Amino acid sequence: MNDCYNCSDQSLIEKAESEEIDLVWQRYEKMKPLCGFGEQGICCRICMKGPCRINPFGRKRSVGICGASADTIVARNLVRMIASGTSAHSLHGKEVAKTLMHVARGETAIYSVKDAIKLRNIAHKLNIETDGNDLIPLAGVVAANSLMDYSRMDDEEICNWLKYTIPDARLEKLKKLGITTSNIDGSISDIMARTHVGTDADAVNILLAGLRCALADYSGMQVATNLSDVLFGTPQPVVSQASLGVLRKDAVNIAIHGHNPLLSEIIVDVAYKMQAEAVAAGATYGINIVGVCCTGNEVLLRHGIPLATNYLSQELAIITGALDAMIVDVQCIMPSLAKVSACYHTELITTMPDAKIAGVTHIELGSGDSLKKAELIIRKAIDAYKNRDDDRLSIPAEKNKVIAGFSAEAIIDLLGSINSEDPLSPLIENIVNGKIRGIVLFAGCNNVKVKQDHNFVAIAKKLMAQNILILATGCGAGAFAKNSLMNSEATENYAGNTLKEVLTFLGFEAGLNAPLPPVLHMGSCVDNVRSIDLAVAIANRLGVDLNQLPLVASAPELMSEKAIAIGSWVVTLGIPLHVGLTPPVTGSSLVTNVLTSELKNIVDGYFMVEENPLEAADKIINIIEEKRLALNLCSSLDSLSKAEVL
Amino acid sequence: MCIPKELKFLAVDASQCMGCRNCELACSSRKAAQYQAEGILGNIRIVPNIFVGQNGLTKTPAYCRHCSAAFCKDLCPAHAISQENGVIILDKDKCLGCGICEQVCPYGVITLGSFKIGDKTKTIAHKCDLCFDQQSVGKEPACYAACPTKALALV
Ligand code: SF4
Ligand code: SF4
Ligand code: SF4
Ligand code: SF4
Repeated sequence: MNDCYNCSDQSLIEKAESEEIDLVWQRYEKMKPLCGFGEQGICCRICMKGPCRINPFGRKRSVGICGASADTIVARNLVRMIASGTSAHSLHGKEVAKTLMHVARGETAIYSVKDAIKLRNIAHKLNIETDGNDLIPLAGVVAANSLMDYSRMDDEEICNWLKYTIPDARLEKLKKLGITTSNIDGSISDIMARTHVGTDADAVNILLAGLRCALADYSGMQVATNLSDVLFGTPQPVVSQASLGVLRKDAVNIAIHGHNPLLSEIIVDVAYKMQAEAVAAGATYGINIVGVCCTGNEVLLRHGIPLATNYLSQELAIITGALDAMIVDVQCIMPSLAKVSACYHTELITTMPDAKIAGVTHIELGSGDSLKKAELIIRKAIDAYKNRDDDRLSIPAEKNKVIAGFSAEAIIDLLGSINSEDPLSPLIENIVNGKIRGIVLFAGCNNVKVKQDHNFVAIAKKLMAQNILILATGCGAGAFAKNSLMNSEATENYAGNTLKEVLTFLGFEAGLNAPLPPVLHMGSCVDNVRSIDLAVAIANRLGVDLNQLPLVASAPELMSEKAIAIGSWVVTLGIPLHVGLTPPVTGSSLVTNVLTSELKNIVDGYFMVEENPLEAADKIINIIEEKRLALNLCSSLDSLSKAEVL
Repeated sequence: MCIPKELKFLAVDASQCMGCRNCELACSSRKAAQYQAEGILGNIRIVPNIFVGQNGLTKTPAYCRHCSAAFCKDLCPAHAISQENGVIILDKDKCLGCGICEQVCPYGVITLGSFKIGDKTKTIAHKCDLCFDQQSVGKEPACYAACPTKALALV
C-alpha cells in the first residue's frame, strides 16, 4: 500500500528509502505495537504513585492506585488534550493581539495596520465605539478588548470573542449550561487544576469543563485570525500552485513552516528585497518561497505563495534535494527535520524562543532587530544553495493550480457582486432550493495511521458529487490543494450538476471566467473560525441556530491536540463532527457514549467516528439531509419519512 | 538441566493483548538479573524471548511454543537443544552460536547474543525456558506475571 495518496510524494518516499533515511512512515512501523492503554486513554501518569493502567477486559472494574476509575482517567486525559490545544491556539492569538497593541502604541516599525476596514468591522462586532476614533487608537482598543479575554477577573462576564461572534440562541444555550468562558488562560488553568490528583473525579463534570476550555480555544482562534487580518490583510481570492513540484531547480528554495504569520510575513517581505543576491549566487529565478503546513496556508492566502506540502510529508520537501532552507516557527514541526536536513545541504532554522530543536541553528525573530535577523536567515539559505548537490535533486513534476483566499469576507464580497443588498441571498437561495444540499467543513491534520490525504480526497469527492459545498482549512486544505481539488477543473470533473451550475454562475459573476473551485480554501487551522463566521452570518440571516444549518464538519485524518480542541468547540457550537480516527477515549464507555451520543442532547453537536471514508461520506450526507428535513427544505429523506408515517 | 514435571505453558488471547510490551520488559528484566549473576551484564545486548507485534489493529506476542517436533532441537548440530518434560530447553554450555536454530524456528523467537570473554567473542542462542526456575519454586513466569490484562495465560 502507498503511504501517500499523492504520487509525487510516494516517489520521494521511495527515494528516501533508497538513501536509507527514515521518515515518519518508517518510524511509525518501528514504533509498533502502539500501546493500547494509551490508545484507549486508560493510562494515567498524573501522579507519582502511578503510572496506573486500567485493564479494559477485567471482570472486576479496576481502578487506579488512588481509586480513579477508567471514566475519570479517560476524561482527565481528554480535557488535558483540549487544554494543550487551546494553549497552542490562544497563545498564537495573544502574540498577535500584543503585536497589534505595540502598533497602537507606536512601539514597532515592522508591523502596521494593513486592513483598516477589517479593524473597523471588528470594532463594530465587538461593540466598540468607532465614531470619531482614529485608526491607531482604535487598534489599541481592539487589542485591549482582545487581551481582556485572556485576563478578565469577573467570572460572570463572557469573552468578547465568544459572545459577539455566535448566534444569540447559541450563547443562551451555553450560558444555561454554565460553560461560557470569561478568561481563555483561566479556562486552561482550570483544566490543569481540576485534573490534578484528587480533584475532579466526576467524568461528566470534567467533560463539561473541557467544553468550556474548548470555547476558550475558539475565542483565542478568533483573536488570532481576525487580528492577523488587521495586521496583514484579509485574504482575497488568489491563484497559486501546490504540491512539491512548486520547488524550482533555478531558485533558492526557502520553505516557511509552522503556524504564526508574525514571522513568515517578515521573511516574505525581506526575501522580496534580496532577490538580486540570490541571482548573483547563480539562482537565475531568484528566491522561491514556498509554504509548509499552516504557515504555508497563511502566506498562500495573503500572498499567493505556493504551498509545497502539508503536515505528514514535511520531511519530503527536504528529500527533493532542492530545498535550501526550512524556516520554522511553532507547532507541528517534526523534530526529525533536524536529522533529515543533516542528510542534505538544507539549512534548518528555528526562530521562536519556545520552539527550539537541539543542534539546530536558532535565529530568533520577533524583536526589534527582526529585519536584520531575517536578512541573515535568507543569506544562510543562499549560502546553502551554493552547496546543493544536483545529483541528488528530484523535484516532482506535479504541481496543481489552486484558487485560495476564501475568507468569510471574500465569500460575502463575491456574493455581493450578485446581490449587494443581501449578499448572502444567492448562497441561501441555492441551499433552500437544494442546488447546494449543504456545507461540509474539512479541517485538521494528517495522521500516519491513514494513507496521507486519502480520507480527505475520498470523502470530498463523494460529497461534491452529491452537490455539497466544501470548505477547508489547515492540513485538510493542504490535502485538497496538493491533489488538485481547489481549481475550476475540479468543479468540472467532480461536482454534481447543480453544484457545478451554481459554482459556474458565481465564478463568472465574480469575474473569474471559470467556475469557483468545489473546495474553498479558508486558511490555516486557526482560521477554522472563518467558516464559523460564515455559518453564523447565514444562521443569523435565517434566524436559526448553528445546529439547524445543513452543516457538518469533518476531521478525517486528525492527529494533534489542537484538532481535539477544535473538534470539541465545533460540537459545542452545535455542529456534528465526523472524525476518521478514534480519539483515545474508548477505555471508558461512559465518556465514549457522552461524546458520540449524549452530547447531542446537551449541545446538539456530537462526535461521529467512522474510519471508512466512503461510509463516512454517506453518514455525513445523511446528517445533512436530516437537517434539511428539519428545516422543511426538500430532503432525500422526505419521501422516506412520509413512507414511514404511512 | 532439571526441568520439573507439569510446568505450565503460555497461551495467548490476542483480542486482549494491549500491545503494551510489558511481557517483553519483564522477560528482559529477568535476563538482566541472570546476566548480572553471570557477570556479563553490560557486555551483552538484552533481548527478550517474547516479541509483541502489530498487524492492523491486532497486537499479539510471539513466544516459544515448545513444539513437540521442534526444528530447533532437531537441527541443532551440537545437540544443545533438548526436550525435557515437554519443555524445549537450550544448554548454553553446548551451544556453538551457529544460528541454525534461529533460522529454523517458525515463530522467530530464538535470538543470538554475543559477549566478550577476554579478547574472544562468544555467541550463543537464547530462547524461552518457560521461566522454569521461577515455576519450580511456585512463582509465575515473568511475562505472564507482568501482563496487565492476562492476555497471556498459563495452560
Ligand atoms: S492519579 Fe490516580 S490513577 Fe493517576 S497515576 Fe496517580 S494514583 Fe494512578
Ligand atoms: S524455539 Fe521455535 S522451533 Fe524451537 S521449540 Fe520454540 S517455537 Fe519451536
Ligand atoms: S516464560 Fe520466561 S523466558 Fe519465556 S518468554 Fe516468558 S518471561 Fe521470557
Ligand atoms: S504484556 Fe500482555 S497485553 Fe501487554 S503486550 Fe504482552 S501479552 Fe500483550
